[in-house]
Amino acid sequence: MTRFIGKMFPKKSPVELLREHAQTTKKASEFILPTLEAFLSENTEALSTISKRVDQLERNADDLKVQIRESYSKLKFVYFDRVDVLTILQQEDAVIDAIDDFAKYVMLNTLEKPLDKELANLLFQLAGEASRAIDVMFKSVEGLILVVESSFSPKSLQDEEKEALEVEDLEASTDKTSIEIGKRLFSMKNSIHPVDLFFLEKVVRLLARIADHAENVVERIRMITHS
Amino acid sequence: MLLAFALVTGMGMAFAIGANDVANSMATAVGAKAITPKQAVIIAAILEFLGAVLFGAHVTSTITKGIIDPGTVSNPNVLLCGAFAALVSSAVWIIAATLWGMPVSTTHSIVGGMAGFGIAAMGWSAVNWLKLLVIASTWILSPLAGGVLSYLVFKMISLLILRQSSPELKVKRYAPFIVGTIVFIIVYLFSLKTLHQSQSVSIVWSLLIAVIGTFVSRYLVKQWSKKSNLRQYDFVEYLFRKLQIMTSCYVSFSHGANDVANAIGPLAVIYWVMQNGSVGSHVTVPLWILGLGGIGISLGVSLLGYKVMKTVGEDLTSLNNTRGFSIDFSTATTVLVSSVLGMPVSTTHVVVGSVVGVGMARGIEVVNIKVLKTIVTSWLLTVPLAALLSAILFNVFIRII
Repeated sequence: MTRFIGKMFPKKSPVELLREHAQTTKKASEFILPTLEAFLSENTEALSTISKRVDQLERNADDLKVQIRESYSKLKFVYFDRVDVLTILQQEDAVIDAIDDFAKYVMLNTLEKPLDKELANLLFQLAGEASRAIDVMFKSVEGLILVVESSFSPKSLQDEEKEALEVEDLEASTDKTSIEIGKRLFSMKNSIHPVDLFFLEKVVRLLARIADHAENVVERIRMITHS
Repeated sequence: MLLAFALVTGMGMAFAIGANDVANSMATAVGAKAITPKQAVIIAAILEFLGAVLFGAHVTSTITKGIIDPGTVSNPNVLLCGAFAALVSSAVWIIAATLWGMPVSTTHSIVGGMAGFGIAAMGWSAVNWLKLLVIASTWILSPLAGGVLSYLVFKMISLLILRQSSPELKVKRYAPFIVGTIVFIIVYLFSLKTLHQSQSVSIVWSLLIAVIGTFVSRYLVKQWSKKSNLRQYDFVEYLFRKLQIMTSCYVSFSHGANDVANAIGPLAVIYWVMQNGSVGSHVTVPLWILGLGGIGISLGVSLLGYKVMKTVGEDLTSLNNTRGFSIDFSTATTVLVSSVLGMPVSTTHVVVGSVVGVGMARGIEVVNIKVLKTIVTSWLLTVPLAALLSAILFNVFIRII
């Protein structure tokens, strides 16, 4: 009968693994601003180093993703519906994938002319907003552990609600910044190389996508804590 | 010579129970890091012995005279060989369990073993089928009771402490009462069933000691609160970690009370027949035999249990103390109540029931509900197979002895 009871529990709680995945994503998000900085200053060496580190984090996140999926396939009693948690995981994974794409994409092209300061500032603003969205996402995932620890106490659910509201504000702000950058970028169509224009447009899209997925995670968490 | 063999086999059984079974009953306390494997071994070594000596007589009595009435056996030799066959068949089962990692319960195998020799020696009518049916029904009811109790205990902790706006204050308020409740249950059952005191005397004594326990723990909670600088939920878990030290003692105590009979039940029959030279309906279990069983379990825990406990501790990383407490408290209470009712139940199976109960209360994530199916299959198989082995061994022994 050795270790018979041990077989009844998951090796590691899937919610804890989800938090680890979010933490890995947060670590990767710390490279968003340095990536943009290195790209705009054409520091290819720094870009290559960053890309390798983000790539490693993305692989770690993939390992965690597999562990969570395997764990959920065996679980009988769960804190949250497995479809919801796997959807959160998918979105969380899309965040780190987008960061990895961003870090790799900016290595593909160097701009013909340095970017004007105002546009560069707007890009930094968007990158900052994407990083902040990931911070909120991490807080929200961590909040899930508190929800479980507190046995779904009303206060912990309210805290999750607050994060959802915060991310809604961020979402509006990210959209606004993306549109502003887009407008500004296309208004420069006669003074910027067409390849650079579409290249930068994709950079903006990637940054916005990072923020979008992070916001989706928070919204999904809000849904499950309110069901 | 036979008594020496029986003593060695009985001690060996007790040793194996200590080495194997205790790890499962203490798994949640070690897994939730309430106690270290070393502390678990020390607690189990002492409390298993105490449980066996103070409460072990009830279940032992069921094993010795509940399944087969010794009074119906006219030839003492038949009873000697039969009890020895049941003991050996049970030992074989626990060895098989150890080697194959199967959820074979020693409780089920000893019950099957006793019934098997009875049928082989005197036919189907020798078995007290009604009693056997009651015992078998407790094998379903005990995990269920553990599950219902753990569900209620966790829900209560959840409503009174975890879901409150200031769980830290609430846990300080309720923890002493939890201690008081555990003390009350143990003292009440001990007074009523072991010391055979009246209801009123038992209630008065247990209330008195429970109140003392409540005040002592209130003082201790105050002391621990001064030292602690933790966030709210960590403090709740910290206090439950302390409480779980007590429930792990409670589990060990209850396990000793129930499982000692599996090792020394047949031994008591052999000793009785050899001492009295005849058989009768009354078999008294000497205290020294209970003590011997207790020592055997304690030795098993001390010498081999540490390694198993260590592995178990590494297995259950996802368990925390409020959940571990709910499982341990429910397991120990179910097993102790079963013990005083004289019902041989499997502690491991009750733990499984309690784990499922907390899982259903949304307290823990549980992997693999197949474990429950394995349990049912295992006891459906163990009883007839142990009975068959015991019957075969009886036929061999009766020709030799």
